[in-house]
Amino acid sequence: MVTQTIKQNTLPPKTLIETESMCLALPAKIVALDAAANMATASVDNVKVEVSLALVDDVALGDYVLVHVGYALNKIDEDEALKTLALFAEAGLTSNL
Amino acid sequence: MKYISEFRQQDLAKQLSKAIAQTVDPNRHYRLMEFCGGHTHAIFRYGVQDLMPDNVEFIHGPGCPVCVLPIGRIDNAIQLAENRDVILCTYADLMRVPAGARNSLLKAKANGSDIRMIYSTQDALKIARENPEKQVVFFAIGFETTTPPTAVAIQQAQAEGLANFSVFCNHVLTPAAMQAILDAPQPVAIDAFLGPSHVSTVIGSQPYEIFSERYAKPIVIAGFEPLDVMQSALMLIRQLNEGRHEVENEYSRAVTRQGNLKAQTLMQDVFELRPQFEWRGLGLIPDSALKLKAAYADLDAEHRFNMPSIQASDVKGCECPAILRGALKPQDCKLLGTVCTPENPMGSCMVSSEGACAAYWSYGRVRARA
Ligand code: SF4
Repeated sequence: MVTQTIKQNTLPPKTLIETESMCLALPAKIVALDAAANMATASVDNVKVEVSLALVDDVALGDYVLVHVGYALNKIDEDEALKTLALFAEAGLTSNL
Repeated sequence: MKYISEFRQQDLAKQLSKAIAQTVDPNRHYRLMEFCGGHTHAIFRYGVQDLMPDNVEFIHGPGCPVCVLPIGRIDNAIQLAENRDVILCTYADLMRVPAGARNSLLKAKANGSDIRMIYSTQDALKIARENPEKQVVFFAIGFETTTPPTAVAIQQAQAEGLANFSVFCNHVLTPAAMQAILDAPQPVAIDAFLGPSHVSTVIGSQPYEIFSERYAKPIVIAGFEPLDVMQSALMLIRQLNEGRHEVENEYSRAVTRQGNLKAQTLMQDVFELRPQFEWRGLGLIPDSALKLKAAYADLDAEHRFNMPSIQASDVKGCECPAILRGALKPQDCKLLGTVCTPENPMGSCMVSSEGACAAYWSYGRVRARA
């Protein structure tokens, strides 16, 4: 499904990671785990980053985590994400009444 | 991109925009302070203000860590780096922040100081391992999101016996700044708050409850994507219309009431409160910043090196302090875009992409042209 995303005011092109400053965090998918080192490889927008798992427990392959300055800060909860998306759609419905 | 593009869908943005327009009371004005620089950035980058009715106003808050760091602390770091035995490691955002006497970390680097930009505190540890003959100092700044990674590095350095590593700690606390804004002698009129996204993944939504109760201000923890910001604004507007003042959590995919307990425990193990700390724009705030506990004093750069307290003032005409309190907007500064640009910043609010002046100048112009 192709969804049209909201138009961005753009600046000269940079990769997604470069554009974000130190205090942003991005949702990234865990694509490789190194349990011994407590590290993982995560992928954002096809860019791979090394992340420390020192701040999270029970991360599995395929999980999405918020990556921030090289650390996974938290896992992203899929059910909650879907609920929030449903809320957006609902707001639109009530406005049509 | 999962969890990114779904939260930027244009049709949903239009629907939300319509819902907000129908929910606002045309007879009142809504002043919503977005606390975090990340929200400021998203609001400008996606033109969220344009999707809001005229009577909904975003007031930009102090939640940009680079912007609130007092100049004197950057001067301290530069002095450290001028010492030939020191390698100073820092996040890239700090490099161009104007320090005293028209200096900056970038200029100090050009003048021969060994200053390295790092992405992760793990990089700083690596540099320390590879350069045992040098003192490696990590210039640590940021709110509760960057603090746990610093704590990890400190514990790791201690466990490894990495004797040439230390941390110049400037970590600050979000709830203390919110308190300072609400308790200011001439408080800025704010009806409600968009609560921080990523800070809240660490501290949880619970620490804000006291503010919604004591100050009767609605607070919605909001994600950083444009639809998150719009949905959160709608939730705040509903609370205001109904006379409620609660903490609600729009960013439930990453934030719980308790937050990340592992990260909190780490912070408590390594850091303790400073009695007070200076914030650019907000002045001295009690119990608002962290320092290393006595058990880690060996790794504290302020302990290891002589670091005098330096007082320095902003460039004349720079309105950053008032902008950080929400009292002025970037467009109120006479230097904006003429003397002060992201290429040649006069104040900290122009340096970080999270700073209100940088966001306004970079994206506000795009909007004005469109
Ligand atoms: S535009 Fe520049 S000089 Fe003016 S307040 Fe912002 S940072 Fe300071």
